[in-house]
Amino acid sequence: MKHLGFKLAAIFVILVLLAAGTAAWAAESGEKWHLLISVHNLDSEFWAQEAAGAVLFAESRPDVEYTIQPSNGDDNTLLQGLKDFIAQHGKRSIAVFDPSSAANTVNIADICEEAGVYYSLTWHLAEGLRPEDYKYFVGLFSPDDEVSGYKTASHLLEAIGKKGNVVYLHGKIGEDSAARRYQGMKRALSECPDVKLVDYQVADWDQEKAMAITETWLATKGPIDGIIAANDTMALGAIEALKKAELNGKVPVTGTDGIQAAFDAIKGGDMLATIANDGYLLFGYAAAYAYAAATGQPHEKGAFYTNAVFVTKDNVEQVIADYIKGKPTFDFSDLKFPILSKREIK
Amino acid sequence: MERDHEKRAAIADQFKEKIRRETRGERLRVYMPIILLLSLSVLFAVYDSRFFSPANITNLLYQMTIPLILATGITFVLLTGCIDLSLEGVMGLAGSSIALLILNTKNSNDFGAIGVLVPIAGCALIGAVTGLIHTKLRIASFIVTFAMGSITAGLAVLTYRGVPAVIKVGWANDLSVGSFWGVPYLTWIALGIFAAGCVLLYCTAFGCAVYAIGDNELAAKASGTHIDAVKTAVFAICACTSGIAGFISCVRLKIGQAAMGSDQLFPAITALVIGGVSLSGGKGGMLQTFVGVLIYTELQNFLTIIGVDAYYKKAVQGVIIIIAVAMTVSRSRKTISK
Repeated sequence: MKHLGFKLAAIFVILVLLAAGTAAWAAESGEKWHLLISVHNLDSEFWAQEAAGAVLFAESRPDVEYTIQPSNGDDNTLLQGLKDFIAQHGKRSIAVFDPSSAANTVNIADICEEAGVYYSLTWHLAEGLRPEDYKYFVGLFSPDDEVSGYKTASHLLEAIGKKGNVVYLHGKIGEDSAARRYQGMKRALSECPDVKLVDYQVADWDQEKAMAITETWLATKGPIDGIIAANDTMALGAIEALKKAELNGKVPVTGTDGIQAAFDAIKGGDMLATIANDGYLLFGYAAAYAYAAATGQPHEKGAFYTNAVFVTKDNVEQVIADYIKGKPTFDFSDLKFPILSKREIK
Repeated sequence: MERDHEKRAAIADQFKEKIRRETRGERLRVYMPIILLLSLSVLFAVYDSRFFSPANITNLLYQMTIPLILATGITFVLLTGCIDLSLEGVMGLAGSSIALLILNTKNSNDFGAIGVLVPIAGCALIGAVTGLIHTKLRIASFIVTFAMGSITAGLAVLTYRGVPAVIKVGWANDLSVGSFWGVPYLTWIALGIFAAGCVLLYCTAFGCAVYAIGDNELAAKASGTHIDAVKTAVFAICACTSGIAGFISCVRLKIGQAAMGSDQLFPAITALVIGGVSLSGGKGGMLQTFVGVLIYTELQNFLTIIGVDAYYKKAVQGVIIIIAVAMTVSRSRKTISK
């Protein structure tokens, strides 16, 4: 009987300890913020960089845990993942998205507003959606594609003495980034009347297609003085075609995005310039803004263009050291740092 | 009684005449892809003389390389009446793995030929597993291969985790720019694989079994053909050619990433259908595949040369493909098109 009492007391103590531990754990996990990082997928270097940027932010805050969800560019996958995440973490969720499509941002906004979850969007936005009109929509962040298109094209036109024949490799038709980069290139071109745009072709951001198109251009379009590509992957395809014709380094090529292979090509002299859109900065600060809003810290609300790094032979070594060999370090408490300019949403 | 007999005879005659007409139509249709290829070639050359310039012919030879290799493999699958949607993922996985196993910027590996052959063999194995799942678990080929495509694409991404490897081996450059008798090495490889495909299809019992299964699986089974083994082999062949295509793409682009396989399935299957290979199996062959690949490559190249406005290019391409398929696909046996 004495033994039984002892056993019961022991069980009671264990149960009390377990309950206390669980309560403490629950209290502690209740303190945490859960960051949803929604990107297209991780097979593109840039998207992987975006995810890593938000992870950098999460790791800089002891009270933030993160989950990466690839949407594979599919609207439903993204929305289902978001709903599941909110069901799990409730109002302790914050979220940052590279949306699967501009149209889907309306659905994202609906779900987050209803659940009371602060969120930031990058790149795309449906028409009529403005952060100012929504309580939990913290901000829209993206580099200015028109400026990227303009800067890279201007640099190339300068390099060829503002005269001659150039060609343009276009991104996916119907995508906002592709259209704005093309507009930027056209603006640069309009400042150089002696340069002729011999042809532009859609290569869908794809290296193999860009290579095949450039091969055909080189065989049929006569002398080409410069190739402007809407992204680095297509620029690398063009460079491989130039290598085959032993023209690499002689015909300048520019791209946009800032992937490692492009930096290597710039270093090796095969590529003239690119713009590193800095996925680390974009997603890191998009997450920082959502966190600031959720925790009641002062922050500006709205749509913003973020800083990008123009990369040429002069600074490529430094960029490789900062972005490839290491990871950039940011002071996420300085929320003004990433902002290039305020963006007008029509 | 006699009038009944006459009536029956008249019906029989009409039927015979109809069959004769259809057979004649069928025979003509077999030659249709070749007629289409020749007429398009002439049309393109007349429209723009740059089309048949030596430099552009070299281009065409380069550009047909990957579609020809992929089409050779998938011909076997289509002939059995199945489909392989895993081709893009497998191709991406092979390219990504090869880039990481030969001399590259991401690690210190330098396995040379082994680094190329092992991933390709791995792809063949993946194909065999696909075939086994399809035959043993009796799951439709489109869903098994779709899932396998997703698995392999995922694995491809995992191999390099976001930053793809750039290959540094000197022979890759020699292989991608060198030529023999004016034909690029890469095209010779594609032609070699195509020739091997022809031998396998036309000179072996295995080839006969492929046709037999596509034509009538039950009859083939009744006559003793080992259906499961043949189908498994067919998927292994297709995955193996996808692996080789991944290697070629890796050599051409000097970079190994999952995206190299994207948008490769549609051209391969379109080329086959234009060439007259039936999606329901049993009809078509390597010649049709070859002609189809040539038509598709020429079309792509020509649209770039004449500089069709980028906004219209896809639509123009689609219209031409529908016309080409309408001219070449056999419809005589079909009552319903699905």
